Amino acid sequence: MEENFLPQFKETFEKFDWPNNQLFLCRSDGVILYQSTQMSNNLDAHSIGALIGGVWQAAKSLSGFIPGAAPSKDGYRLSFDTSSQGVYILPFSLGTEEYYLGSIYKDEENPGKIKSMLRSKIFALEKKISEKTDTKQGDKKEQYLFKNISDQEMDDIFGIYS
Amino acid sequence: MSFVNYHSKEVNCKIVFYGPGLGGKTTNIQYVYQKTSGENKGKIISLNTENERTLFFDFLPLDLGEIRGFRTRFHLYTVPGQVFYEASRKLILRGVDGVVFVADSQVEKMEANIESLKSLDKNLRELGYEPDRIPLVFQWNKRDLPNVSPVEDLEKQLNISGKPSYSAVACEGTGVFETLKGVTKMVLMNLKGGLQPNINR
Repeated sequence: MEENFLPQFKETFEKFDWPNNQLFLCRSDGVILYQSTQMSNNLDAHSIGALIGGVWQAAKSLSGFIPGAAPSKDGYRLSFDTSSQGVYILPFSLGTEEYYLGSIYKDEENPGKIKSMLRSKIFALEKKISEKTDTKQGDKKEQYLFKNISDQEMDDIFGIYS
Repeated sequence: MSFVNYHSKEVNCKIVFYGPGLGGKTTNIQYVYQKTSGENKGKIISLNTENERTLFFDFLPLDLGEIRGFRTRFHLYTVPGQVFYEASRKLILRGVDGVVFVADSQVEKMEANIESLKSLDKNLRELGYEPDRIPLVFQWNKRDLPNVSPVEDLEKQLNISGKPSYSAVACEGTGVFETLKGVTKMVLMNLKGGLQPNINR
């Protein structure tokens, strides 16, 4: 599914002029798919992805305890912020998969305006892609990627510890 | 749910360290962190209580070496072991590619080990996994303590289907990499060649 929307996602958000903000796109299991700013250590982006996925799932579970609550028309979003800095997470779905757009920002005079803009962009993108996407996954390969991995190959993978 | 990126030739896999409270799950990944050089590891994220017990999860991203031209990247997670964090454990198992069950070898911990293993089975099933199909290894931890069950007893009570198992003293590093290598191999051999996403990195 990702290969269908990542180029469009990139195109939409790369031109988004917001200097004090970093955007992250991750899957529901926390695997990072896109980051707007290259970080000094790429693995730090993976930590951010894990936290975005984790915090969203925890909040979603918590929302299940709201008595008699039905999902709102626009769905949930998650904010952790002051008046000028914070974290904002917005989910979106494509097919059966859920993804999260995470935004980390600071020194922002009007975060509400930016959040609103992010929401409208992601909803528009979600709609556009779902209209175009063929959800059939007929060419999905079911063969194993690696067969008969040898002990030597495993030693090579773990060579950084020797 | 592994992620194979054919464009940048890399594989991303999620490994979860599961087991009873105070069994040594966090100690395992802390040892891996200590022994990994800077460019191959990210920040270790620990969401702890004030007394250093895992509240939600620990997370360590690792860049290991290449296999057949693919760069391998592993995300190591631990779950909170205490019984009342069941909901968190289930969340963390989502998307898992391989599990290390860290058992506490002490005789008096056998019940806790069994209970934790049952919880693993239940949570995997509730998430739609067939537990027998998930790469799983056992680690018999704390083998240096005086009051430990014989390995044969641990195998008989916990490892009914004969998965790979490793003795360990995680606080000294003994058995830590053997365990990680064992589960890593199973995970890689279980990877399916799926669709080919294009990611920006």
